[in-house]
Amino acid sequence: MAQTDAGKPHSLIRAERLFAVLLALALWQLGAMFLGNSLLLVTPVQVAVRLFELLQEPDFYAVTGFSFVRIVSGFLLGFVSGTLLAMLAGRWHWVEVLLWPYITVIKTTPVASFIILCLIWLDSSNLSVFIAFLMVLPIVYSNMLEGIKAADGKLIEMAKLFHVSYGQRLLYVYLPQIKPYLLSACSIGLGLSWKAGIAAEVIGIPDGSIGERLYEAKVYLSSADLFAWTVVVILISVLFEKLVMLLLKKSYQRLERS
Amino acid sequence: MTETNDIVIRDLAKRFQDKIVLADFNAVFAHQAVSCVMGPSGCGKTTLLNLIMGFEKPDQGTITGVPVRISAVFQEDRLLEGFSAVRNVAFAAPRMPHERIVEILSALGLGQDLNKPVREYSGGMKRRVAIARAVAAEGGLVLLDEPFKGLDETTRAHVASYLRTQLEGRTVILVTHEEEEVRLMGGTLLKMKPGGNDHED
Repeated sequence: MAQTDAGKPHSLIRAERLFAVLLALALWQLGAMFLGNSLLLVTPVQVAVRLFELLQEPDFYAVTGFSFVRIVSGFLLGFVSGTLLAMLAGRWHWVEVLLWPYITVIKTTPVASFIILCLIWLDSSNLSVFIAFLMVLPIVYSNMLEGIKAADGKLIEMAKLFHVSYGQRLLYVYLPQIKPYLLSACSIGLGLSWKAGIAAEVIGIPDGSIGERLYEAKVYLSSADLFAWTVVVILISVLFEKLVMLLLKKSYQRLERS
Repeated sequence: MTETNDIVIRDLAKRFQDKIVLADFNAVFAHQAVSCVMGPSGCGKTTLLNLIMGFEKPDQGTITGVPVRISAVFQEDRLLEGFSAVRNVAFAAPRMPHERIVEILSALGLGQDLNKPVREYSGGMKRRVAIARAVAAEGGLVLLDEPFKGLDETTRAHVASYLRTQLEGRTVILVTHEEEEVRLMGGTLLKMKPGGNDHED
């Protein structure tokens, strides 16, 4: 039986988590029944019903696809840019120094301020791309730079002595050593890109987006819609994160077997 | 009188903060021959190799005759721990055919575990992968920093004999604090004393 580091079997951990989720749902159901007002708090059953109805609607997939493509594009842009900038900053210290003010400002500025500011510059349909990019960039940059700095200098010396090409060094020296930093950057970045991207859509209200549906739920005081769309966002975000992490881990396994 | 391709070290000095590691060090390492440098721990042997490899800059003095391509067995194994022995060797010798890499590893007694990541190897096996890499890598100069560290007596003799034949025609500098390693590799001997400022042939 598969064991975790703590020595507990995986099946037991899964059972514990399932129990916690069922208990939370039961408490939610009881709380909603106690309040007796679906405007304040809908029951999980009502949310499930509304979610099922949404799945039948023809434009559900177009709406989720619209937000998915934009937020994931923003994440990928942020991931690639953050990685490239970290590589440059790892190579030349002055790049790190010059980037420091921008990265610090992006990290500390409230996302709502960026959204409102960017609404002036950008078309609302592409706002979520830029906001997701902006939130992911500093996380990926900082994590990757930390990973590059933590890389074993003696291995890098060895590679230089043997005149190993930069591509091979990247593949066999840097990539394995930055693995934990890369996985952490992806995991945090993906979660954040969905939160910030949806926030951008709710403020920018682009036509046919999840953000627009959430905004409409607020306008029409439809708690069931609000909860159902939120569940959709959570599910897509978690599933996509799991898929990316799985692909990354598989890629690492393939690299190590090469 | 020195040969054109001899490695000539003149008035070499190196200090780290207040510690003088090498002072007025002079030596000539003959072209295409084995030279052994022996001395106690801390006498500057590894620093000498680091200076030859260009990892450190000397405070004073010159080193001439060092070829562009150097191969080495470092004091630490410096292996790609998550990768196989074959990948580790191919990393330093990308143009070498796979069969030749396998042949070198097998000759060093590693033929059975070629596809395991080296992190699963014992200390002695890792050392032999580092030695295989140094044999496979191009370089007219091969630096060996205590290459037989962690190998048992029988393996040492076998590996040393293999190295002597495989490195023939290349300039070899071996540093060690063990007379046994010098005896196994042969060649000329240069003894270093603590501080590196005194030596005898």
